[in-house]
Amino acid sequence: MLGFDSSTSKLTRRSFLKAAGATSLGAAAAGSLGFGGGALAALAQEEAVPENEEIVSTICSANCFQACMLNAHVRDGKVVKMSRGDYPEEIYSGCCLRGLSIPERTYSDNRLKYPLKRVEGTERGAGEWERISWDQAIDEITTQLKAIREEYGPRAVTFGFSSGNYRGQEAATIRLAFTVGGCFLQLMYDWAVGWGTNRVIGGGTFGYSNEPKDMVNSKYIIVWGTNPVLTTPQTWRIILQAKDNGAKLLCIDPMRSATSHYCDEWIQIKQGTDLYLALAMLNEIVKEDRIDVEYVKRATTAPFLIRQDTGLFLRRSDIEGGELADVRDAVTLNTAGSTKADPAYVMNEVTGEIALYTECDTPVLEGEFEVRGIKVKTAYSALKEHMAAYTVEDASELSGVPVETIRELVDIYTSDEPVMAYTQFGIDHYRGSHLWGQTLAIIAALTNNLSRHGSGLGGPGCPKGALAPLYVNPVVSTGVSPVDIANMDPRLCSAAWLETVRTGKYCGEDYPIKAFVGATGNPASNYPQQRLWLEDVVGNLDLIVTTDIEMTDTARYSDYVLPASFWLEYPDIRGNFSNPYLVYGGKAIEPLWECKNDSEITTLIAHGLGYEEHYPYFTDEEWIDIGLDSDENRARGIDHATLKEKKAIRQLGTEEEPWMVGGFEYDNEFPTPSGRAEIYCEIPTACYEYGQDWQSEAKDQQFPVWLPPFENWPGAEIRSKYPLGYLQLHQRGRTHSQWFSSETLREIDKEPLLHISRPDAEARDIANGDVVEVFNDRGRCVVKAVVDDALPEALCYIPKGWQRSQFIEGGYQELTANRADACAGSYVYYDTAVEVRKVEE
Amino acid sequence: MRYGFAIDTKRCIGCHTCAVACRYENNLPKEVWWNRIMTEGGEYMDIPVGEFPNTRLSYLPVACQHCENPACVKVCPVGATYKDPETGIVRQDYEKCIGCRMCMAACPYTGVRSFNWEEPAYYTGVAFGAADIPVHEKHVVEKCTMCWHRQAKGDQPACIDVCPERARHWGDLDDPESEVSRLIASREYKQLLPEEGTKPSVYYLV
Repeated sequence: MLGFDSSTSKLTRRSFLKAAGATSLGAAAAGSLGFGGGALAALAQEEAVPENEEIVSTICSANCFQACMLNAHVRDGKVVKMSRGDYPEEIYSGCCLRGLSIPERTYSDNRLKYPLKRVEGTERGAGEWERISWDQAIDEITTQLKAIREEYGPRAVTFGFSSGNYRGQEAATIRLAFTVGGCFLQLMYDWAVGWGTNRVIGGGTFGYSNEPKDMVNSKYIIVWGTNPVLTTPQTWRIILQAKDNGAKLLCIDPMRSATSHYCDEWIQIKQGTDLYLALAMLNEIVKEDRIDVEYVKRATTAPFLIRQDTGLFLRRSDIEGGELADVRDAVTLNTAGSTKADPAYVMNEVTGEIALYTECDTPVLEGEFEVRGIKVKTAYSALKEHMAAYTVEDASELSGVPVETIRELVDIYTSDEPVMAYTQFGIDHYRGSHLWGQTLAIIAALTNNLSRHGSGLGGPGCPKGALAPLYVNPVVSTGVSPVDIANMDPRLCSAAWLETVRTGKYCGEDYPIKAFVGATGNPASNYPQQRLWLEDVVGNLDLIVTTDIEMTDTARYSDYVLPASFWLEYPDIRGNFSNPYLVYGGKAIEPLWECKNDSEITTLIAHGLGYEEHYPYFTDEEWIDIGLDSDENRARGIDHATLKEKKAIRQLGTEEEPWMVGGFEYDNEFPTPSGRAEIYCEIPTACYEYGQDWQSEAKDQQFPVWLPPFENWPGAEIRSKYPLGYLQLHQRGRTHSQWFSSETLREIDKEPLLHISRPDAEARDIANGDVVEVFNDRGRCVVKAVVDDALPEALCYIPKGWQRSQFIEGGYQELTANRADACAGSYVYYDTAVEVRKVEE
Repeated sequence: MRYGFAIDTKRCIGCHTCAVACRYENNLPKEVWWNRIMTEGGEYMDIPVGEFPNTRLSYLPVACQHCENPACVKVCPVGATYKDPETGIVRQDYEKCIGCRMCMAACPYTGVRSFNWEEPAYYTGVAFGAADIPVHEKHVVEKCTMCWHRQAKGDQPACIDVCPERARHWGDLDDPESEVSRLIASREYKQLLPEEGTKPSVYYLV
């Protein structure tokens, strides 16, 4: 029944027999090897070696959101292993294979050890490097940067960073940009769902989730478009505890994902149709008023009166005049507190007169009225009318989810039990996903599933995961205003920047980009449509400088590569998303080889450019002081010494009262214009502007609408040419592209594979292990294929993070498109279609 | 006393954390794994069995089963493979091992033992793991030691604490009050190849 061979993780009867046979043969041949010398030399050291270990508490700083505390065991000046560290709360304590492999990654031969310069006369990417000194590297880099800045101005230099070093040092590069001037890249991923929830409950693009541990109070957890069993195992632990407590787990996914096998119910949905399903659920809920009326009247804008002439709320200044009467611009109306300052009216059920929402406990929920000649309608009535177009029947036909299943989801949401919709970024990677977030947030608002224990939506968790802003702003910590900061060029959205490099224009302005200086990220690999980087960026820039710890795709195509220190080599702090703690990561060893940490490198560059005064040298400890220097931290008792001693301190909530959106931290309000959950967005806008036409879409998004994905949904026209939806799923052995070369993890997961459904494989005569080409108009890659019964027809994927050198040809990121939803400002990686063909060998 | 494991397959998500912890704790050479994570039935890691959408997916972490009636002990010509009478742990005495690999042939749980055909090779120059683990040598059969070196200090095996889903439990199967005994008594379980009569000390809770 059971057995396995030693080369793969198979477990079949057949392979067991085969392996057993091989073992027997091996035994028969053993005699010729004689009696190994090992027998005599083997050491039994159990009692011999005394314990001489120091434990340093540190924190994994990849951006998987899990933020595991780890103990680094140091012996004879070397980190010999990691063990699980402990948060003050057991539920947040854990580790995974990546964290445990940090020592191997630290000492690996894959580390960048010395400054490297591309050998003159060789092409970028050719892989020929000359080891140079730090002095030479900084001198040459800053000499070239100065020449570029003199000829073209500071904006010719673009600084880039991302989430590769999710701790304080990550801010070093942005701070450099702020100090010397120039532009830096605005990241364009993972904001989409949050942009939609922000329209409803505020808090920005990452502020929509309750503290993860509150999920143990859930009665229903709907895992929607994410795969925590593979990607967020520490959060899955919390979900398992909810299950132990009696929660029902549902999974909505087009794939038979690993997570779907661990849930009580899997709901198969066609890819790209999640928004339509959510819209129909919302319609079904409001159609029959299956809402929490008391909560809705008290905590949402449902009773607010919308002027039928302007589409804006009827406000006090509309009736009483005053200086706010003319203030109806998008910025003001979208600012938290603005509707409290100039309150909207509701219709008072008791008096039959209008009343300010701030003064009326008995508003009418439905109706159309005329107030001083102005026709008005409650937001709830308008919502009901708007949503009527989205029937469960249509949703069922498009999504493949049976009508009764959609009704079951509605029953769950209206059951009066707390419901959590757990999601991360699967749906985020499609066009229109902000509207899905907007819809989910409205559903949660109408059913009292936002701030009640066990309820909520999202998964990113605690909105203190972001960097301490003081790290970034050089003025605060130095008291000196850098000469350029007044003329600081804006951040450039990466989707448009890739074109700017070729055209020299950004939003109609001249941006003669000549240099890229990047750290803590791997844009050549993680930005979509990889050929744009390889051709436009690599082909047009005069200078590319990359700081990293390993030879990533981005580093490989650079002129200078600077070796960064890794996490065990300097102390730092990190805020977390998957728990509410701020954590101190201790220094376990000195920097290896000639590595320097990010801030040391940016300091050298700043000084080379003449900014000694504005970017003074700070020690690692001083950086932590700067990062912690805020009134908010002082109020929480968070200072450097205390954090170092306690190792982890809560930034939000308490152990007894976990942090909740709209909970006590916000005085029982949402950080929205009205302080309530806003079911109607008066003036929808775009997350970022980079010259795109967002207005023509935003003008229809006061309520959520159906906005079909670009390529990856059943109705996509491109399917006739490229019939397969294409995902780049996160796997357990990498975080984005990190750990791509880690040796032990590669033994488990050796090479990139195209996962293809059985019917799609059969139609193309593809069997396991066949070499295939995956292609579309944007690019291609050649990989081995595996038939994966987790996949429905017309959907395939290659796991994320593999570098180009690991493919037979090309790269998996060539296939994705350099585009974002016009409003949501996030790349739509999964909204991609491809074709696959077998490569005849 | 008989030490053993209870592994909750309902909680195990095949994440390999226990396998990787074992690897580093014991400084295993390249390509050597004493504890591996099997995707049940699938031909590839993480790929479910059955045809979409009617699939099943589950994992089995498999290492030496530390059998009560170990097949390996009976065949070892030099007594290098033996059962520790105090703990029930099946041990391998590297000093006595002559590298004949009879134990590997006799063990029905293929792959839980490794044999160093060559000088053990490593990815870095750092000796990882505990200070008191035996040094890996050429021509010696090795396997899971149940972290013998840790037990001397009162520590559990390295694969237990690290499990993110708390699926792994270790303790004395002879003590009815131990956590493992209580889990085995209260849950359905399976054992690997019971027909072999080896009486494994690893219980997979199902």
